[in-house]
Amino acid sequence: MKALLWKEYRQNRSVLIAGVVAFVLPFVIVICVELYRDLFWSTNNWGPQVWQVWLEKWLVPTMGSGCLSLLTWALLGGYSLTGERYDRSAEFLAYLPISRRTALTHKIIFNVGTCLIIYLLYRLILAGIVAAYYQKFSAEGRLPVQPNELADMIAPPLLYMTATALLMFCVAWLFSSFLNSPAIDTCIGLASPLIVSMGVWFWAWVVDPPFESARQAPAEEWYLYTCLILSPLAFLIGSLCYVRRTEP
Amino acid sequence: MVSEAPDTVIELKNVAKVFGSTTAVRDLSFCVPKGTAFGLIGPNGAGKTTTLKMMMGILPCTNGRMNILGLDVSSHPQTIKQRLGYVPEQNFIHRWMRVGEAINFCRSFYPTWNEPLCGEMLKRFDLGGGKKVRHLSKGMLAKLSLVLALAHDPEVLILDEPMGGLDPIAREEFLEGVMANLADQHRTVVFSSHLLGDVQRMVQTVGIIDRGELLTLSSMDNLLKETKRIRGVLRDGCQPKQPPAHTIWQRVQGREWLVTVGNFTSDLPLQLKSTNPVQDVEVIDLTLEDIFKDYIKGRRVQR
Amino acid sequence: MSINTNTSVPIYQQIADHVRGRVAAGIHRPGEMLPSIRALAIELVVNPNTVQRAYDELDWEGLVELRRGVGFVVTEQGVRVARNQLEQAARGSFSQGIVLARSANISEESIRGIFDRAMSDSGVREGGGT
Repeated sequence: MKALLWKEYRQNRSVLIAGVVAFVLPFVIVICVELYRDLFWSTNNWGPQVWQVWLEKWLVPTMGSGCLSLLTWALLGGYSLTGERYDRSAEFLAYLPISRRTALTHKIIFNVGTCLIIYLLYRLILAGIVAAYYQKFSAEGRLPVQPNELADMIAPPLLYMTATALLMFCVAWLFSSFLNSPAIDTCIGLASPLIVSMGVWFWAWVVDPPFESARQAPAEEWYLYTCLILSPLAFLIGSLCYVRRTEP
Repeated sequence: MVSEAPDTVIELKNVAKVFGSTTAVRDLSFCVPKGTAFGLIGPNGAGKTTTLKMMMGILPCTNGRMNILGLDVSSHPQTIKQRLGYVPEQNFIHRWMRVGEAINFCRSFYPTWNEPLCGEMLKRFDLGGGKKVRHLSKGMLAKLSLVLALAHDPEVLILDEPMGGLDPIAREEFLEGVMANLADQHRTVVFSSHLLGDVQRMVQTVGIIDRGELLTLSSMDNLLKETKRIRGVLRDGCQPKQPPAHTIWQRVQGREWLVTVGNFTSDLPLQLKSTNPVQDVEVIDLTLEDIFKDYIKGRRVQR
Repeated sequence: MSINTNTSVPIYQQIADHVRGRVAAGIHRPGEMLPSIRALAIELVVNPNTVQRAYDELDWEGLVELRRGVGFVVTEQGVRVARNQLEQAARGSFSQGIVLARSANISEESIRGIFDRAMSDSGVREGGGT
């Protein structure tokens, strides 16, 4: 139903605005610095290191934008189910003939859709930077880092970032199914990777010291697996809690 | 499941609601016939809102059975909500919505939406579509709430303390809005309010509820006819010997003995005089407000 | 008793009527004290000043008198004064009834019949009083 999706969008509009700002801000800063530099210094005297400077100039804000977007994921999760309970509009919605399942479906479509859009947009920008790098410097006949090498460089942090974002969103979603404050849900969501990583490292270094060698996998990877297992679990439990909850 | 009468619209059987360790409603049973207005009155925290919310299927009953329009509320929540209209004490329509947006939003959930009626009511209440819900006054919000509750032509209208905090003008306009949509249709109304004058004007049957229990259930006319206060002047140094059956409340202060009875008949005063040391009795008519107070006070004393 | 705010009868008048009725019925007898202003104000949920005004009126009528350090006390002629006042009120009600009956073209004889019937219907008070 269009009305429910529209309501979700309007209800979460401030979160979306915050998300756009978080996404765009690092680029804006870089562009501003760039303009500033153009005005006062000559830009073409970076010598043979020009490709590195260029790459850093664009990859750093992209990563920053990715990190800030984590906040958006947590916010989306935190506000998803609690937002209405917090401003008590959930009571108004309860009088309307909307089944829990319908409401949940629309929430999932909206939230997962938004998260997906953020993710795809992010990937698009990364791909764009890689492509631009290739185009800009291959013409000059010097490519110190090959595009596929570049992709290998980017992939691991991207993977961890995605897993962390997923965990944040799902944990915030879980808590928002029964708590009453979106701020607390979001904070729990933001803290969840910290807690998980602390748990994994604690296990690796204190409980089971020969951990790494025995399992032939670094603790970082275990963090990744934990995230990937916990996230769908949290999402599922949160959804179930929401559907089965009787009170608005 | 056999209803007691074929035209019973609302039927509660031994309904109870427990929140943790507090019992909000205990063993409530009553029926509301089609096309009548039923008033539920009781002090704050008596369980009125809980009962009405259970009728809407927003709260599940802990115990007992609740049938509305021949349907079990817990197993048909969506159908019930589509056929009932509900005006809560405080409506939490999304504050960011505009009036027009709120109307559009609600419209999309009801197949029976009555567009001309909706427009007419908005006009009657002078509710512009562009105004934000956040900026509406309490009276305007209550009116919007009534429009949203009536625009889908519900068979049952539930009003839960809808006029709390409204000024007399807004209250009258609100009631006019209700009346305008009751007169021509066989709509059943359940009305809970502290404004007993309004209750008296609106309903045919009234139930007094306190601490989750129904104290009395009667037609408004019978309640006013059969509930009277009798003032007896006691002989010096005497106490009442035999209070009448169905004493709701009584008080002895000096020589004055006031007793409110629930089954007044014209020979009761004489009977009272013959069984008690009183030298003089006088019958006092009561308003709904007096009756309500006496029921509640009488019960508080018993405890 | 509760105060009726939906009538044009002023509240102090309602209170005075209430006290007159109690004196006439014998609940307060001559020489006995009326409830204090404060107590009555709390019982009826009205402003003490309003009760004061009602008591002042009763004082002026001679139904009660203010005794220093005691309060308002029903006077010896208090019952008679109260009855007089109530009689006047009753006369007013009757004449209202008569006007109503006359406007409906009811004959004087029938009006007497109505009166007699009403009298026997409210036989409760007969033989009452002291």
